Amino acid sequence: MESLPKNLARDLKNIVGSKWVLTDRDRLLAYESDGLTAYRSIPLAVVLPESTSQVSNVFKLLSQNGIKVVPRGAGTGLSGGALAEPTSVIIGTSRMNTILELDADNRRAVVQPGVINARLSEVASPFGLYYAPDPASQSACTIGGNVAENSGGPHCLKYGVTSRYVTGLTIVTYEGQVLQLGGLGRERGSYDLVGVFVGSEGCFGIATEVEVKLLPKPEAVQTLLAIFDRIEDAGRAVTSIMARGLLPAALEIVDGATIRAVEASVFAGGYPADANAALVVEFDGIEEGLGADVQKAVSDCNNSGATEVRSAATSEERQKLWQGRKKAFGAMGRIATDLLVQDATVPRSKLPEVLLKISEIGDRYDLNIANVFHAGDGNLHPNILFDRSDSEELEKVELASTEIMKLCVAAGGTITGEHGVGHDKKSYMPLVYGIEEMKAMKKVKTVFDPHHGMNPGKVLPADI
Amino acid sequence: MDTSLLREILPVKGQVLEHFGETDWSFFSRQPRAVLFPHSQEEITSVLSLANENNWNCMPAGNGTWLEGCMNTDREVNLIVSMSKMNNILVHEPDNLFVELEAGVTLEQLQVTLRPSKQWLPLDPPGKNSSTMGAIIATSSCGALQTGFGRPRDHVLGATLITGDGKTLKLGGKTVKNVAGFDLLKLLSGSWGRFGVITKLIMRLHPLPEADRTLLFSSNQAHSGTSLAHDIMHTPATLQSISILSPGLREELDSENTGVAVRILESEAAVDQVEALILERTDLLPCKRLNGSESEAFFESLKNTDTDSDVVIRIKCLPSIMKNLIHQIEALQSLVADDSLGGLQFLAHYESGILLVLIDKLKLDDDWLAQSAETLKEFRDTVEQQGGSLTLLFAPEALLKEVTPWGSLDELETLCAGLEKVFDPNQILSRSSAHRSAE
Ligand SMILES: Cc1cc2nc3c(=O)[nH]c(=O)nc-3n(C[C@H](O)[C@H](O)[C@H](O)COP(=O)(O)OP(=O)(O)OC[C@H]3O[C@@H](n4cnc5c(N)ncnc54)[C@H](O)[C@@H]3O)c2cc1C
Ligand SMILES: Cc1cc2nc3c(=O)[nH]c(=O)nc-3n(C[C@H](O)[C@H](O)[C@H](O)COP(=O)(O)OP(=O)(O)OC[C@H]3O[C@@H](n4cnc5c(N)ncnc54)[C@H](O)[C@@H]3O)c2cc1C
Repeated sequence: MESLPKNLARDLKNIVGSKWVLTDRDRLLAYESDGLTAYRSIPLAVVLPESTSQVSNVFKLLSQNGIKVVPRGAGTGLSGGALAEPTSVIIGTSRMNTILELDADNRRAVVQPGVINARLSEVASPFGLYYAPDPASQSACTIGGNVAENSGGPHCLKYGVTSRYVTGLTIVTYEGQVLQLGGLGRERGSYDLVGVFVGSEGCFGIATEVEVKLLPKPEAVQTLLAIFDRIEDAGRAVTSIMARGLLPAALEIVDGATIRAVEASVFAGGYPADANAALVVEFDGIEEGLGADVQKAVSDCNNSGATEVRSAATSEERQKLWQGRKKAFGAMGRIATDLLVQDATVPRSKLPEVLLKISEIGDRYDLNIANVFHAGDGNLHPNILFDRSDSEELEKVELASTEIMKLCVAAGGTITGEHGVGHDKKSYMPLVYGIEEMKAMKKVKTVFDPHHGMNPGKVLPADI
Repeated sequence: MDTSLLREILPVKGQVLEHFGETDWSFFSRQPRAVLFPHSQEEITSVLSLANENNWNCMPAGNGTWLEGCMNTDREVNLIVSMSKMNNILVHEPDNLFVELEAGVTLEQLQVTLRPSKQWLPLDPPGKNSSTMGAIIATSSCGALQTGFGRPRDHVLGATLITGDGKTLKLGGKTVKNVAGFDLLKLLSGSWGRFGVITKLIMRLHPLPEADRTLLFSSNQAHSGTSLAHDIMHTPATLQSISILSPGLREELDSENTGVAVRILESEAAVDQVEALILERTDLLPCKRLNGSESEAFFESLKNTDTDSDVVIRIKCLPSIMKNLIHQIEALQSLVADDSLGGLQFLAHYESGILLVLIDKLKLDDDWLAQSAETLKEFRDTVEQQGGSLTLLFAPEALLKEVTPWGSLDELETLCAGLEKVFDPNQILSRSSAHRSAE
């Protein structure tokens, strides 16, 4: 195992404090993977700074010594984005977890990157505000990680993904330069530097302060749960709801396999265990307007073959209807040794056809594939259940994943809707981009990171 | 310059315009050597390749109505490559709420096509109905609706860009969620043609709202324009725009007081309730109500408020400091010609923190340039001290050069120049960089 030169360790400790430079193998083990546990690698060290100036000094030191860095938030990423080679140092943001400004008057907040997504909404709540992007991992993932992945969530159907809400950034480049990009209250030049940084997966620099827009909490929320015998029917209901011009806050589908996993777990939400799909439809906004929208959605579900449509009257009932969706990953984690959460998007109308084909792929490779997804956005999450110690099965997972990606791309979609490319999907990039696009991406990275010291080996295939 | 080479690439009559006659493609008193009207992406690629070989400076364009925007001062241009003949709507998938189009399609043409499907693109850039979609994205032009629906960048799902060195890049896609690779698509909004020619766009659509209602308020002793806007912004409902108008800016409002226009785009069932919530916040201050096409027409005319102004300044600030800044724009009065009717006007999109200051007619006495530049720079300092920024969007070129559109970009200069070189290594599109403001 590589080790950090002693003098460098000392200098790093001088910057952040000795407690916050981790070099013991035991402690580094906790950083060997992110949420995609199929890839593991122990970093050279982990450094946990608490401020922009500490990050800048740490980066200066590491870049002068030619050591590459990998930013890391909570490590919930699902594409191996925070995976660090044994020669790289992880810069963790867990100590940078202060909400620096909550400016209710202007509906904005400035936070350090290690702030947990859900905490921001909690803190904003007494002011009648919340932070809209709500990844299903929101109780654990960080705003910095969300910025890097341009994360989405169930309610992004109506409200849009992270990039819509990030208005300004303080970033530190590999060389330690501190740059201010954008800002809700000012404009600097015409190029959208904030826009191109969001979604850069830690490859351009590290975000050390994030300014975000907050939204007023909707006055009222109404939630429906529609049960279907066939998942294609649930997909059709989604298309008709959207096609008639309704804009629900969320439209989420869980398939039969997932329903059964959840119902068999402590999270059971009372979904019929023999159902083959459940569709959660949520509307929010002004009380008066919701009733009519809900009625239209109910009739769309019925016309698409729903066997039952439930609605929630209280907040507890609402939680219950959401249970099957929100606890899906947790419940599935219990029934399989390993779980590969895939992520791809297709134009919404292609959902029924693509879902059928995914199930055929599962049958062909004899793999259990469970689907939980953001249906309104056409953002699929086929979850492949497998056992990593079975090398034959591992190979099948790889082949099935590739087929699913090709299928989604052929249907007019793409290889990732929200989890990012990271380490995992580099080899799929040529499915959606030609050489010139990838070269341009590399050149743009080089503008931000001329020495290629940020998050090496991610996003772009090695030969670009 | 031997334009016969261009005629080989663009053989159809009218594709290479060299003699301008009635048509005016000059900008800041500079006339391009030729204006080109390609019919295909291949033609654009060939033109740009040829331009690279010969070191000819090019500028992409749409219909050429806003070539005198702030980013084009100092821009050396031999050839203008106009997208106006590439104006087909290629695919409209109502079920998937997207449209794919050539960049020369005008916003008006698009909205007319979408209407039967009860869909629209909620963008309201200032300027004429002949604005092309490519230009709206390239200039990141937007109006009051940005409050509720976002800026142009939030509506673009995908695009094709032919870079300065003639490479074709297909960016983004057809789906709303897409995080495959770095988001270069975002760079096109606000690129002002310095990265390449945007040839195609895939735009996200929205359902047309059932109800369109505008409430017009006039300020009074108890409620200033900004305090009204502030109260309305904090209504617990999503409002599509909250604009503050200087007295007399629009005839629908009384000429003595600052006005506030609020637009509600909602379902029929919700619109009254939203109105009631707003009125509750404004202590039931009387207001004028415009519905449906009247509401639409009001905002249509509002978006063209600045079209005759000599100078347009865009201040970006947090809403909470807008009140101060509105008072302080009085400092710009010295720029206004004595006989100017409208004088100094403003239009603010409160929640978006946009304050547009319009100078109808500049005072052009002997040392107007030095004085105006000094006043504007001082005012920029005043704005920046309060955390905001001042962009000189439109002005006589001499003034733009003195004041510069943005002021200094300091440490971001290197990044911006680096990005230009990525897409345009020989700098045929950005010979005078947009960002070397102090040069
Ligand atoms: C159960 C579960 C459900 C999930 N649901 C969703 C969902 O609904 N929607 C969704 O989009 N994602 C979802 N995810 C994926 C994941 O939570 C998101 O990608 C999240 O944004 C990652 O945040 P993190 O703090 O854990 O980042 P990490 O995993 O630590 O890092 C992710 C990437 O961001 C980079 N990074 C982290 N911090 C910074 C920073 N400050 N500056 C620059 N780069 C940085 C890292 O280098 C890495 O490339 C889910 C994951 C799980 C486990
Ligand atoms: C009177 C008037 C007032 C206006 N006021 C404002 C204002 O206050 N704020 C504001 O933001 N906008 C303003 N605009 C601009 C307007 O909103 C549109 O952006 C513009 O009218 C687009 O029209 P066009 O097709 O004629 O663009 P053009 O004038 O042809 O082009 C405008 C710019 O966009 C670039 N461009 C055009 N098409 C492409 C393309 N396909 N690819 C790459 N680059 C391209 C050009 O290089 C040029 O720099 C105003 C326009 C007018 C006519």
